Amino acid sequence: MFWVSLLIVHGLLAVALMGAVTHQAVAVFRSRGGKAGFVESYATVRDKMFTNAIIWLYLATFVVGSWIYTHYRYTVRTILEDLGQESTVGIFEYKEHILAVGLALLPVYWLLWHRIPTAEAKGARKGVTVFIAIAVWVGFLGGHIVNNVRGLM
Amino acid sequence: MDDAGIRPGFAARTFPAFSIFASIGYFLFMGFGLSPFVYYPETGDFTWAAQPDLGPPMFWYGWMVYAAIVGLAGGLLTYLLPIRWSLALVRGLGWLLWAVPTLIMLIILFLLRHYF
Repeated sequence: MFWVSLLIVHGLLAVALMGAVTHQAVAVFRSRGGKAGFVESYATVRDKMFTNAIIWLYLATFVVGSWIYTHYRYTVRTILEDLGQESTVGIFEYKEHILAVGLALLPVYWLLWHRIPTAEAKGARKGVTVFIAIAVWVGFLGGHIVNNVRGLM
Repeated sequence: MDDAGIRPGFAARTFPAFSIFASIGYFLFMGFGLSPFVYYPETGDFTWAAQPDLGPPMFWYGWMVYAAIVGLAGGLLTYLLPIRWSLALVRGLGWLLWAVPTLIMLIILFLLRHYF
């Protein structure tokens, strides 16, 4: 029950993180002056305000996920390997790598949003933000796939 | 003024290099399977070298420790460079901040192809 509770906490943190980083990633590409429809409203947020929340959510999700990973390694993964679910194991491997690289990018991500004027780093800010958003999505979907595969077996 | 717009403080001169060096460090140590320690979650043991009788090993934490060390070293070395050079990663070479991690993840995807 302990690990299941921790997994739920991990999932809730990941949902909050995914929502925030997706909002910011869309906002960083927004074109100003469009019609005030749903898409424009979704993209018209104070994107800079999301940065610290995204960093703290990323760290919290990462720490909880790293703890769950220990349990996954000697229980779930060995079962998946025994059942020949190599692709599921591979998806989790990719998730751990992209999230570790995303973690390394957090300092420069913070810098680009808080210390560098927009005009100086527009492209870098877009690129790093989108990379982190993709890492979070890959992590979320990868975790879900592993969880669902195990649940369906 | 040459550096107009960017305050050349400690963060601006070190964080970009930290992120790039840590990403590359992680990739290299992961790729070569080099870790300063191994963790065995089933028994809770940390060892300096792999011990097959302790259950499934985890190298991931070690790779991140090495990546952090490489990142810190890269950041501090960059801080020692002239300001113009140490700010290059947030100015003309800013594209490297997303291109390098993207390339790394494409190569890792290739390295993991045997799973798929």
